[in-house]
Order: sequence, then structure tokens, then C-alpha cells
Amino acid sequence: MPSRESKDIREQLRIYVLALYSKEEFKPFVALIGIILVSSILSPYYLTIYNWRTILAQASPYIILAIGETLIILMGSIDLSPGSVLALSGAVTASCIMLLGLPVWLSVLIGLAIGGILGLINGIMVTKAKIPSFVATLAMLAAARGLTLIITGGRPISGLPDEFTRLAGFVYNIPVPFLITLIVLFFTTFLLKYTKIGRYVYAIGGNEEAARFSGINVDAVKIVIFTLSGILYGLAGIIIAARLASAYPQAGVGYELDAIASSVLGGVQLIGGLGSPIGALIGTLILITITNILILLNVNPYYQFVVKGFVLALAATTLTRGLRYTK
Amino acid sequence: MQKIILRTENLSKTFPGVQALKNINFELYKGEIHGIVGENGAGKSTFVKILGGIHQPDTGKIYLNGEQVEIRSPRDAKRLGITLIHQEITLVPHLTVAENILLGRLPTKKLFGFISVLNYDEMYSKAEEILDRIGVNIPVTSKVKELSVGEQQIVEIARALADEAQIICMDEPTSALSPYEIERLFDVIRSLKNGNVSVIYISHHINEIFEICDRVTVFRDGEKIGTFRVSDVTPEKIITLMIGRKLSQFYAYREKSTAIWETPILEIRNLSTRPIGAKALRLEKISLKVYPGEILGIFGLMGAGKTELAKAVFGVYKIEKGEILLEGEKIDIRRPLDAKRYGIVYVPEDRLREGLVLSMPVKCNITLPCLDNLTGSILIPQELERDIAMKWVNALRIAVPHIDFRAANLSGGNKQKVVIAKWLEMKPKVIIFDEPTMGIDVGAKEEIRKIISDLALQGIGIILISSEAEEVMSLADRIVVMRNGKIIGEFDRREVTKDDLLALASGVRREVKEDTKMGG
Repeated sequence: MPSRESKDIREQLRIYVLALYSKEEFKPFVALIGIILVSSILSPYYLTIYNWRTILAQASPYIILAIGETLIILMGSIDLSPGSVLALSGAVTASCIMLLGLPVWLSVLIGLAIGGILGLINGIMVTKAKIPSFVATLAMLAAARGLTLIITGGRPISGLPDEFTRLAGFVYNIPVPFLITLIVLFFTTFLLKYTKIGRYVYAIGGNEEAARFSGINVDAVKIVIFTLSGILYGLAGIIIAARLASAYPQAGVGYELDAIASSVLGGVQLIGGLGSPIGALIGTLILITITNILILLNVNPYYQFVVKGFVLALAATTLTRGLRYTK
Repeated sequence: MQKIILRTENLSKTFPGVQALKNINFELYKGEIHGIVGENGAGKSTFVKILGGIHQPDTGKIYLNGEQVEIRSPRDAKRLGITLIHQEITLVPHLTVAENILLGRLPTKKLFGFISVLNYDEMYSKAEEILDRIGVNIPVTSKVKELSVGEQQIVEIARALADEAQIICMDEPTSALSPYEIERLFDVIRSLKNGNVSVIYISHHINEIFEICDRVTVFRDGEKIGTFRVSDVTPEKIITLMIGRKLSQFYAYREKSTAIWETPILEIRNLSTRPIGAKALRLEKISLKVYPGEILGIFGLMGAGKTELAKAVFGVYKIEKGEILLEGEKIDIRRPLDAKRYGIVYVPEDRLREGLVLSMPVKCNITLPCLDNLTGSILIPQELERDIAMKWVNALRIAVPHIDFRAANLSGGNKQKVVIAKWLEMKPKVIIFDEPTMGIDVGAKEEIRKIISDLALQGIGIILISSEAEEVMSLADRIVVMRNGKIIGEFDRREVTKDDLLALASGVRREVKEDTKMGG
């Protein structure tokens, strides 16, 4: 007969498991583990250090983008501009180094600042001009891409110095971009969990009307978060430029869809209010792993998009259960 | 003898904590206009929602033309010829009048013998024919969004006719209409009667009932009190029946006032508002004073402008003219954040939409407005936050297993307590309660009234907005009556009776009778 104590422990355990299960990240996490298991059975190359170096290095800018997108989606908005903001930040940083001869650290700061300014403009368009975020950031998607083409003249800026490309190097087999990603993950998780502005992000996404009726300065929160996300997109752009040792004018085309897809796959609710940066990380790893295993299995790369679309739609059906209808 | 088109037998319905309807036996004649009156919560809306297939009765039977029917969904109701028209318009604003009227049965023709396309000529002539039948002249090609609210309602009625409705139930159709539009609506309703359609007409406005109805049924506390030919009763008699003779247990709740009658804590002078783009004012020259420790009741029927007033003071709606004074000093409120900083807070009527973030835990909901004031740091003081949440959960006796419980899973009464709790840490000077006990079960209702009365005891100025006469009578020191965006009377609560309030608010009378009025 079980003692009372062991019953209590079991009861405690049940509560923990329930709490874990009710987290939005739980299902995506299980899915990721499943995909990793299946992948390691399908291909002997999958679970090698070399392959994971590549996966993590490749995934890092995507994860940072997805985290930025997640911040926006948590507020119930959407951002279509990450790909273009990323490109402009990368191009500006590269131009500063190659054309203006500025020091690398300063160029990187300027690149980040450009991302921040574009995010700030997004935020002002949404709050002050009251343009729905879908349209405001669609405008930014076009404008920032245009600026990138103007700055680069449509040609890549290549030959970036080692001092800069070191940003995409390795420390003991760990890609530097992934270390940066971990810092971003830690920082944003802390921001959302322990600071007032993080709390307001969840409140706005959960019920913007109630947040306004609680006397929260909703516009200010939105502007700050759009700016922060812009800086994160800029960071991703700089990492990509460092990895390729050049800034391409076409960098990041279509990445906004990956960012949104990763957020959704990671359990972030598109209507806002529920989800986390960890979810964005998990979502991105799911997408990247699927791409990776398809490459290892020599599947025609064109199929990747079909598989990605299929996985996204499948995941979305499990997230919207219980809703009466969606638009 | 008139033919009975609809009959209900022992219809009952219970919602969690409330018996909404008890054994309703009701008969509707063919081609009659049948009024239903009752106070808030009397069960009128529940009754027509059952007929419209929105709610299912727990027990009881419904007979249509003598045959028993089951109405499981709005679709069933429509098929049986029963249409429900509520306050909210359910038309598609960007489509034309004709398209809306015939939506679901749009006429088509064949192009080249096999492609089915819309037949606009037939659609317009059909829509016109239906509008002619009810004697109105609205251009069928204009878009619905360009019509006035009154015209939109008429289009809804026309759509019901297009669906071959035998019974049209209208729930407070006139609440958003101007006097002219009401007259026009009444003409339409009268023409329905000639077309042998039966109308169930719910209204708070007793005079409307007497103007257009043939018979009237009184509901009270979920029971049917009686049905009368309007020619056999007086409006005063109906009001007396609605209220009932038994005085409520709440009635003598607050016998002593805690108000300090010196400087008003909040004063509103000549406040007017106008919806964006509208010609008419929504609120017209509202002036009132609230004293510290006082509960000022604002009574009025649905659509009287009470919520608009609260939201204008709280900074949600733009004030066109007028001043707000806090403790004798003029203040400028442009958004809820300003109001909060001045210590004026609002407990909204629509607590799910405006009061709570359902996806967040109770704790976070309670501390949401006060986080900025707790510390200067950007961090949330975790322990302090827990303490504050615990303090108010205990003080207001909010029933939750733990403070990290999601707000979505609370009962109605506890949700309301959380919305109140979230303001208390701010130590507000003025609290505006908007229908604080609407949709809450009886036990919790009493608890919330006790909380409001305790808050007044602490010297907070309280504005209590309610469309329940009993609520303002039992809690308020003074009562202001609103109708059509204006204040039409202000009374010490000892000066008036519940009958007076209802008669004034519903437009049956213009003044309180002299014999009930004592010197103030």
C-alpha cells in the first residue's frame, strides 16, 4: 500500500506534468524531439557534430528573426518586414566597412541602429498613423528592399574583412552566431517574463481593449517593441553578411514567412497573448531540421517548400482547435 | 376567436446559478403585436432566444400552428418562420439593400443557357416589392452602410419577410432610434400586422407598448405574471406588476449615508459628446456632482447614454464640450491613462472585452494597472506582486484555487471581483461602476453590492450606473435619471419610488408626482 508521502509526491508530479502540458511550447517541443529521433534513424549523418554545427550556424539568424517576429505577434500584430530590414542593415554595415572605411564595431552599431530606426518607423505607422500592422510592415517590406537596392546598386558588397567575418566563426565547435542567439533568447525571455513592458506585451496581445482600459500606455509599448524587433532583424542581417563575407541585395527575401511560420510552429498564437521566445526557437529548429533531413536524403530541393507548407498547415490545425471560426 | 399561431407549455431554462425562466405558458395570436415587459433579468430576452433557437429550453414544449416543434438552432427557427431581431444589426454593410434582403435566396438567371449568374433586375424588383408591402421607400440599390440605424432595422424586417417569417421577435428595437425613426418603425410594425405576421415586441419603454401592442405579457424573475389586452390596463398598473409588491432583501441595505457634503470629489459641467461624423449629440449638457463617500446612482434604460457618459469621463470617448473637475480643480482627460493618474477609474459593463485579459492569470490581471506605480525599476517586483494579488483576493473573497489561475476559468461573479480588485491598489478617488451586477448570480450580486457600499465608506466617490431600479434604490444616496443622452431628473433616494424611476426613464411620465415628493 502506498504511503501518504508517495501519494503526495505523485500528486505533486501530476500537477507539474499538467502545468508542463498546458504550456504552449509543450506540443512543439515533443514534435521537435520526434522529428530529431526520426531524422537520426533516416540518416546516419544527421546526429554528427559536423551536421549540427551546420544546423545551428544556419538556424541562428532565422531564430533571431523568429524571436523578433514573436515579440510582435505576442502583441497581436504582425510584421512582414524582417527580410527587408535584415537586408538593409547588412548592406549598410558592409558599406560602412568597405566604402566609408569605418571601424567594424562602429559599422555593426550603425547596422543595428538602422534596424532599430526601421522598426521605430513601423511602430509609429501602427500607433500614430493607425495603419494596421499588416499593411504598415508590407509598406516597409517594399521600401527597405528598395533602399537596399539603391545603396548596393543591385550588386553584392563582397570582401568583408576577417575582423567582421569572425562574427560567424566557431568557438570549440559552437557557432558564434548561436552564442549570440542564446544571448538574444535569454534577454528576450527575461524581458517578457520579468519586466513591466514584457507583461504589457502579453496584456496587449491578450486583450488590447482591456489593456487600454487599464490605463496602460499601449502605443508606447508597441513602439518600443517594434523598435526592438527591428534591432533583432538588423542583428540577423549582420550575422548573415558575416557568414557569407558579403552583403547581398537579395538577402532575406521571403524570410518573413519563415519567421512567421517558426513562431506559429513554436506555439505562438497569431491572435497574440500566448507564446514565448523559446517557442520561436523550437519552431525554427523544426523548420530547419526538416530542411536539413531532406537535403541529407537527397530530396529534390523544390520539394522542401511543399513539405514546409504541409507541416505548417498541419501544425496550425492543432493550434486552432476550439475556435468557432477564423478569418 | 383568434387563431393561436404559437404556444409554449411549461417552458423552463436554468443558467449556472440562475433560474432564467420558470414554467412559461405563453400564447401568441396570428397577426397580433404582443408586447413583453419586465425588468432586467426578468427572462424576456431568454424567452425570445429560445424561440429563435439560440438557447435550448431545459423542459417544456413549443407548439407552432398546433404542432409540437423543436428549435435547435437559428437555422431551425428560420425554417419554421421565426425571426429574431436584436439591438445589434446583422446586415452586411458593404452590400446593397436588395442583396441583404434576399441574401440566401438571391435570384439567378442562366447565361448562355448554362452559367448561373445573379439576376439583378429580378433581385431589385423583388426587394422593392417586399419594401412596398411594409410601406417604406428605401432605394434598394444603396449600400446598407449608408443607411441610418432605423432604416437598417427596417431592412432587417424586410429580410425576415423575404424569408417568409410568420413570427418576428424584436428585442428593444428602438433603443438606438430617434423619435422620427421610431414612428417610422411603428408604421412598419403595424403594416406587418395587416400582412398577418405576428410580432413579439420586447421593450423597456412602456409607452411604446401602449402605442402599438394589442396585448402585453409581464415577466418578473423568470415567471410570467400575466397577459393583458392593453385596452384593459394602465401603464402604471404594468409597472407595478413588473416590480412586484414584495420589497427586495437589498432594499434597506445602506440605511446611512457616508457622504461628506462639502466639495464634490468629481464634478461634471455641461458635458457633451458626439460620435465621429454624427450630426446629433450623443450626450447633451450633462452636469453632475459626486461627493466623497457618496454613491451617486445613474439610472436609465438601455441606450440612455449612461455607458457613454462613463467612458467620456474615463477618457475613452472624446468630449466635445464641457469640463471635468476633480476636488474643485479642472482636469484634462484624453485617455484612460490620464483618468487613472487622476484617480478616476472605471469598472466596465463589458468585463470580458474591456475589463480582463482572459489569457493571463488572476494575479497579473489584478496588478496590471498598478505595475507602473509599484517601483521605479523596469522590473516587476515579484514578491510584492504576489502579496498585492493575495491581499485583494482575500479582501474581496475571490474564489480561486491559486493566484496563477487563468482569468478565463473564473465564474462571472469572480471575474467582476477581479476587475474591481485591479483598481483598488491604485487607491482611486472616484470609481465608476457600470452595471456591476449584470449577468451575475444572486449570491455574488449581493457580495458585489456590499463591496461597493464598503468602498463608499472609505471616502471614495462612487458613480453607480445601473438599469436595475432596485440596485440604485438600495445603494445610492442620490439618483440621477438619464434618457436619450440627457439628465431628466435628480433626486434624493428618499424622494422617489421605484415606480417613479421606471416611469421617468421609460418616458411614461415627465415628472415625479408631487404627492410622493418631499422637500430635499
